[in-house]
Order: sequence, then structure tokens, then C-alpha cells
Amino acid sequence: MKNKDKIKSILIANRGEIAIRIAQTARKMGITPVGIRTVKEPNAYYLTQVDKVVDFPDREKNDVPEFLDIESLVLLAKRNKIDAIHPGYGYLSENAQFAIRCTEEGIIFIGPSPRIIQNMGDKVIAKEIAAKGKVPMLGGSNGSVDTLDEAIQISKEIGFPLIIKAVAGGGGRGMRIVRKQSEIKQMYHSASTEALSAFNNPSVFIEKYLENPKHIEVQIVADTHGNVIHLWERECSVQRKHQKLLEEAPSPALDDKLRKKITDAAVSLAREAGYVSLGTVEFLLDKHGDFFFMEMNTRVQVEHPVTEMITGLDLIELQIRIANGEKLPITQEEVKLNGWAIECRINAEDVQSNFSPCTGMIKALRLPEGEGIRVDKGVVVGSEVTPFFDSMIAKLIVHAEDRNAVIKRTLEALNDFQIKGIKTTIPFDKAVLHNEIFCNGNFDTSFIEKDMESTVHVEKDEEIFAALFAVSQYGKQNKPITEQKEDIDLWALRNRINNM
Amino acid sequence: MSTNNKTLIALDKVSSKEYPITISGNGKYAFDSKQLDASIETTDDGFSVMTINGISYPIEIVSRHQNEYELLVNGVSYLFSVETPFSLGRKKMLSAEASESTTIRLKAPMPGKILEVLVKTGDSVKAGDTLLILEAMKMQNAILASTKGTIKKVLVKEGDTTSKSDLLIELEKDM
Repeated sequence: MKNKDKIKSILIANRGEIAIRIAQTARKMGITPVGIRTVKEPNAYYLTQVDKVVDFPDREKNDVPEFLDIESLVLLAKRNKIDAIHPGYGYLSENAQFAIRCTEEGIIFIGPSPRIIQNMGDKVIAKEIAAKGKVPMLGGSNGSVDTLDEAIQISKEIGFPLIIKAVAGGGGRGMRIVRKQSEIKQMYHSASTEALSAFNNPSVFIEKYLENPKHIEVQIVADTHGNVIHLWERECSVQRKHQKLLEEAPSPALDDKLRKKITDAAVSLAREAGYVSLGTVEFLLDKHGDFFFMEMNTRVQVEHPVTEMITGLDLIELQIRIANGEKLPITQEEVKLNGWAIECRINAEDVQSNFSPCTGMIKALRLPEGEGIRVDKGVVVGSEVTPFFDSMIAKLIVHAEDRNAVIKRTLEALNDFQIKGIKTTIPFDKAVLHNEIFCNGNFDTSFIEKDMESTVHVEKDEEIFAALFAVSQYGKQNKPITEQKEDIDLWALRNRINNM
Repeated sequence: MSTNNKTLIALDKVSSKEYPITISGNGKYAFDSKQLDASIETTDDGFSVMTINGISYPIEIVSRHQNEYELLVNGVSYLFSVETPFSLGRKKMLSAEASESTTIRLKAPMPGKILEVLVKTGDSVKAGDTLLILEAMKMQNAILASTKGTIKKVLVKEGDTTSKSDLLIELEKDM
């Protein structure tokens, strides 16, 4: 255990941009990143960004997605004599059984111990730990709610609105808000089935629902030597159906006093949990400046780059060093808060048709460049966006000296960010950054529904361009500008009309 | 203007707004009594850019079907049909007659799996009611009724996998 360089190779049990992100840091540290090729995307871009590629083993049954198949992944690491596994986010990143199996086979799991994953993954135990750490919380069921009758009983005790959440949940999946008695049956049922399909565990619990809070989370880093520090907060209130779309650090909602209180609470919870590794404590913040514990994520977050931008730290490197048993290289006092950073998630979605997922091939791609601009991408020209995976294809992260400057820089970068072949959330991101309420910092999780007049940003005379473009193509027998000849998607059209 | 000028109307299918555009050839157009000089160029990295009177926006055709187009300008989608003055007049006449009876055919927006069917033939639904749940990209997507009506036919059952544009439900619009 004394050997400082015990991790010499890492199997990346993930795909897309996060696989590439992990590979970059591993290589920088002199560690060999190993990627996994699956039959679903044998020519994926991330496989070109690792030092070594191994094929996912053949299986008797193919009912579990590759990156959720614990035994096959462990076997792959063992067979190829790989020292450690990095799970990324999603998939098995918060699966205690996976961490247990890695440990049993002598593979280092880059993340917290199975016990911590289990405790924090069980939202009921997590709340008990938070209570011991004196972290403020919302009322609700004190355990999992296993029957509809029980759910109805609790709803009578705490009243509406309430929220049903997956015990094993995260990322907004398996979550339903219930506003009245008549909805509870369907919502309980759908939360439970979604929890089962997303986390392989149908258990749900119930909490009092806070109307229109802000979503603020605190980045925690803790080593095996008892050091626990925070790396400030992230503001993640721009969400749709609990899916974050645009994040920033720091949050415009916190002053120094509130920032101290909320980061102290996060550190207190991490200490109470005996936390080790990277982790994120998520809070809801109400209009009065009161905050409540929501959950703790025991993995690297999608939005971790905004923290990297303001602190100058490499979070994946910290995560790997901690897994290696090393001491944190910095103290709390040494953690900088430098400037402001924004992350836009670039998703393959048709924003104008209710953000419905969009598939297709990337036919052309142009990325923004310049000081303070970072693009973490999982696709290149020729990549197929398929329905098998999450719709996020890239992230744009921009850093500048203050909030106004970063909003301006991000808008410029979005104008330079062009993707042909699929519809993306870029016009949505522009609309957010042009929005006055967003720019004032006065937004909460209802921002998209309440404060956005249009979910896409429209440039001056844009519809005249479109009309003239259509007219100019009329009657042309030769090849259209792009080769697609598909029918107009009537479903998309109807959706659009309904959304007006 | 010369007698060779031709006018076509771009009809925005979402807002029903009409854009009558006069074509004089060689990239010269007029709209709203304003002269528009337009050109389309393809860049080295494969994008198409349209320039009108010195302003340039990236453009893309998503799909075309006869005289109907889905276009992107700056990544924003527009649905247009292109009409002649005659065809537009006829279209307006027909739609006035046809507005009485309609069967709405709900199709799968993308490949996925039917998780739950919440209605059966003969059910009355109102706009916004959830008809079925389609799982795609690991997310549950509710397919909603777009109008008040009666379920005419349910063509899928729980557990079915669907391809994009598969017919799911026929909904008869109430009078």
C-alpha cells in the first residue's frame, strides 16, 4: 500500500465524453487508459482517445447493457491485468455491488468504498446521516414506501405537493411530483417502474415538495487520511424535468455568509459519512435563503468542469490520487475561487418539440476556440447519435473574470459552435443566456417553464431566411443541400403546434 | 419589376404565417417590398451558409417532402410549405371544408419500447391526457393526446418495441 504508483492502468467502464475526459487525465499522470469496445458502437470516437482498447466479452444473455454488466466488466479488468476501474458517471458509478466485486478481485474501484456508496445511495440512510451531521432537511417518509396504500397514507400526513423519489435514484430518474390525490396512483406506479428500469430497484420514498427552489450543490473532496475539503458550489437551477441543462460556478444566489453556511453543511455531512473520494452534496435553496439536503452523489458529476475552471484543479486527478491512497495536495485555505464558469450541455434534442431526443449522423462539426473555452465532446464528424445512449453529445465550458463576462463569452462561443445533421440544445442555451431573469441571477428550477418566453433564441429576420431558403429550393430537381429525403415528422409538427 | 417575376408563398406550418416572396432570378428576391440579395455557399468544413443583404446564417434542410420543408436556420427549426398563389388559394378552400372530420394518427417519435398503454379503444380523452409511455434513450416519454377525442384504435401493447414513425394510436377528434 506504500507504493505511490500502484495504479498503472485504468479500465474506463463508460463511453462518450466522460471516457475521453478520464483518459486525458490518466495519460497526463502516466497511467494507461483502457477503453471498452461494445457492439452497439464499435467505431465510437472515445475508442480513438484511449491508449488501449479491449472488446466487451461475448455473453450468453444480452439483457443487461454492457456498462451495467458487473461480472463482465470485472472479468475484463482481470483478464487484461488492469489495476483500477473508473466508472465515470451514470451506469455503475454509484453501484455498491460493483465496488464490492472490484475489491474482491483486487481491482481498485475509483470512487468511495462500497459502504459509503450503499449508505448514500440509500436515500433513507443518507437522510439519517445528514440528520446526525445537523444538515437541514425536508419532512417526508422515514423509509421506503413499498405499497400504494402506504403512499396514500403518507400523502394524508404531509399533504400536497409531495415528491416520489427512487431510493436508489439520481439524475432525476424515477422521480415524480404529485400535486393532488387523484394523481398519486399513476405517479407512484411510473416512478417505481422507471426506478426499476434505471437502477434495477423499484423502491421509492416520499418527501415534502418544495415549490420552485434553487438547486445548489457543493463539491466535496476527501482523502483516506481524514482530510475533507469543499471546492465551492455549483448552481444547477436551469433544469427541465430534473435534468440539468446549464450549470455555473459559483452561484449568483449565494453571498459569502450563505456560501460559508452551505459549504460547512456539506463538509459536516461528508465527515459524518466518513466520506472518501469525490462527492457532491445537493441542496434545495428557498427564497428565504434556507437550504435543505436533497442527496449526495458519490461520483464525478457531469458538471464537474465548472469547478475545475474556477479552482484550477483537475477533479479526475484528485479522484485517482485518492483511490491510490495519497493525501490531498491542498488545504481548504489554498482552494481558490477564481472568476466565473458556465457549462452548456449540448444534447441531441429537438428543443422545439418538447426536447424530444433526436438521432442521426453528425455531418459537419465546428467547435469554438479561444482563451477560457473548453469543449468536452464525445462525437466527431461521422459519429452516429443512436437511441441506445444518453442524448448528451458534448459540453461547452467557458471561464471568464466575472459573471457578465462569462455570459458574453459563452454566447460568442455558442455562435461558433455548429453541428450539422442533428438538432441540438444550442439554440436553447443561447435563449437562456439572453434571458434577462437568468442574467439577473434571479432564477430557480421553474425558470424554463415560467421565465422563458421562447425555448430557442431566434436571430433577427431568421424566419425570412427560412422562408427564402424554402422558396429557393422549390422545384429544384437536383440534389438538395443535405441528402436527407425523409418525410416531415408529423409528430414533431403537432408537438410544436401544441407548444405554441 | 419585369414581367418574368414570379411570386411563391412560404407558408409557416406552425404559425400559419404567409411569406410571399418575389423571385427575379440570379439570387434576387423581394419580400415586403424590400429587395433581398441572397446566396448560398458551402464551407470547406461542410456547412451551408445563406447570406442575405450581407448577413450570414448557417442553414440546413432536415427533410423535404414534395413542397414541404423542415429547415434549420442557426439551428432553429422551421416548417414551411411552398405554395403558388393558386395552390395556396385551393389549400385554404379545402381546409375550410375538411376541418370537420379528422382522425389523428399518433406515431412513435423515435425507436423505443412501449412501457405502458393507458387507454383502450372507445376511451374518451381530453387534450394533454397521457395515452401511453414510450421508453427511449432510457427516459420515459409520455405520448399525450393532442386534442379532445375518442380512441379509435390502439395498435401497440406493453412490451412492444417500435421503430420511428410506427403508428401507435388513432384518435378521432370530437366534433
